[in-house]
Amino acid sequence: MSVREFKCPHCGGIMHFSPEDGKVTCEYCESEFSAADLEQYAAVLEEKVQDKMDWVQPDESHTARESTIYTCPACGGEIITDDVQAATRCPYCDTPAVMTSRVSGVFEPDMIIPFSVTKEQAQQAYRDFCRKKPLLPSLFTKQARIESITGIYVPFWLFDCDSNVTAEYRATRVTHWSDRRFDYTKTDHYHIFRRGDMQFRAVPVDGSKKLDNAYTESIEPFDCAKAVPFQMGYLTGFLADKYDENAQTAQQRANERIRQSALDAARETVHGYATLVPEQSGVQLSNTKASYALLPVWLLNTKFNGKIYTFAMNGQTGRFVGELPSSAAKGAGLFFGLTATITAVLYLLQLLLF
Amino acid sequence: MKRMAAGLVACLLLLILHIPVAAVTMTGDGDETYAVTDLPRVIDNAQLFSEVGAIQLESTCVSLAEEYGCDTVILTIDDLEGQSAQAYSEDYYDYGGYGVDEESSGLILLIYVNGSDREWYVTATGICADPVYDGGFDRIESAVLPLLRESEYEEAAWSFLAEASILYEEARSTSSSNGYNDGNAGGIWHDVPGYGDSGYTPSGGARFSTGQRFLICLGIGALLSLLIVLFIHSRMKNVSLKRDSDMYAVNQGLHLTDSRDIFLYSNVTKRPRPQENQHSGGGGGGASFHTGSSGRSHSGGGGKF
Repeated sequence: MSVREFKCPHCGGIMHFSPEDGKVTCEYCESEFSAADLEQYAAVLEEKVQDKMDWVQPDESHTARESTIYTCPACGGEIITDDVQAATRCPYCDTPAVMTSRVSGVFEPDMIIPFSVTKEQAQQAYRDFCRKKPLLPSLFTKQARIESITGIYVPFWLFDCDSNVTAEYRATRVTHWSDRRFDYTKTDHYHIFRRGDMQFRAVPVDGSKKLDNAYTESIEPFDCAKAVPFQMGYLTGFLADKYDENAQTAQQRANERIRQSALDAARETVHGYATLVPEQSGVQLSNTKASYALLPVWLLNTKFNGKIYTFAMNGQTGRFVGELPSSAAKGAGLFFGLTATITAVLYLLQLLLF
Repeated sequence: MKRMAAGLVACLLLLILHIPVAAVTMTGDGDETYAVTDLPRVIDNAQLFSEVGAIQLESTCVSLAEEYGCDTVILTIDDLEGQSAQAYSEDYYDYGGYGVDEESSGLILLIYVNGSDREWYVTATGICADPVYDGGFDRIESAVLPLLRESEYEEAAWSFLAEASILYEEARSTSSSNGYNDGNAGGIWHDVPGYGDSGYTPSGGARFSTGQRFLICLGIGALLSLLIVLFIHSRMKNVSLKRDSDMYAVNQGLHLTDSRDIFLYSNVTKRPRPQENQHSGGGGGGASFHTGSSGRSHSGGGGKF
């Protein structure tokens, strides 16, 4: 039988075991605990809870093939295409310029999801997005060159893993009752321990520095079950890009998302408490794998008032995202118009009612 | 505060007494008035008041009755006819047919003076009974008794009327009876200098001026339209980073391998409940409830002075 020095879970003070009633009492705050509960709590505290999210790095030496890479003189954006015609307007900064080219070995992607959305559908989606936007400056719709919407295969890292999440919380349960003289509140304090497994497949992080992650994440999800082994033929009529963010950099973003999912899932298994405060948590990954894939995106970058506005559409599902400029003048007009209308309506109403 | 106001009013009235005033029955601002019976309200058998004073007291009693529906009677006698002051005042009020509303609400002040044998009594009926029991009698006593002791009978009577007016207003505003929908404070003291309109508007229950209402509507309108414009602006962009990777979790999400809810300790706190107070009613000042010979219930108080 070992004597364990144990700190009071309530105040941290030294505790005493009394053999008569099998209870452990704290000298300082006089809280009472059952020995069995304390044993469990001690066991839980000894568990190591920390993050360990390392990935097996992908083999970047696998088949390199020679390809022509075109570079935009204005922004440095790169595209890969066999079609010389395509390399006359940069899809990233909308500059019409002939791109310089060089031949280089690029790493072949593990898989590709071919385009299923046509250019016409993309242009229609853009028009629909711009419709019914009262704050859109009318000049914008006139100036935007919708025909320069480009289909581009964007390089993505796809992460698979098994995760093991451990999470601990402090929780309370509260009951109330009364008698004639007093209102009573009883607070039961608990220590919650959860551990579980969760598997993730094809968590995507885009490998292109030129594309804002917010855009590529907003057009998710991509159904990677429909991906096929890469063949150059798929690129015809479209542009492609090679990755310039390697797997290691992309991993951090994947780790953030996976960690959040795992912690949320653990939290959802705790029920029936009035308060729940996370104390510590850790996520550990195993069976990690990073794949390199080309995923289809319809991209439009258009300049307005010196700012570039980007629109992106998932080339597999058709989900359309973007940011439109708001006209300050229209905003002000709308504000004053609405204020006048609502004030008039309210004033008439209160005259009738009061 | 109320006592000071009553004292002030009594003083103002004393000043006005020296100015011949036509006995005009004043009414409130066109609100409902009570129909007042043609009974004498100041009966000066003991000859304690001046003629002019008696007339002015009478007209004020009538005004109070019209305004508040509470009858006020001032009775001075030199012979109690073997009865107690309480019984005498109650019977005089009840059998005299006083009280203009359904409950015969009102106050009667009895002053008995027979040489050195002097007694006074106040009886309250109807909706005045509770307020008098609940502290009203104490206020009347502290306003009236000192003056009675000094033999200032007329001033005592004016003081009594001032207290009565305040009591009637309180009684009417807390009771749910109709006939009193005016928010004016001070009732018939409209034209007394310093006691003008309290600033309430005549329309029932209104508390904001037109200008204030417009500003409130404008404020709400501006706030609502700002929210709407901000909402429309937020729809101009639908791009954001994802929070998690839930959509890539396979095999039905999380499989728990270890789940422990360990009870640690409990603590109980208690808060004392507010005790129900004994309903004291404030009758400690000498007021009490009594059923008169007519069967009607009154409150009141008095004594020798």
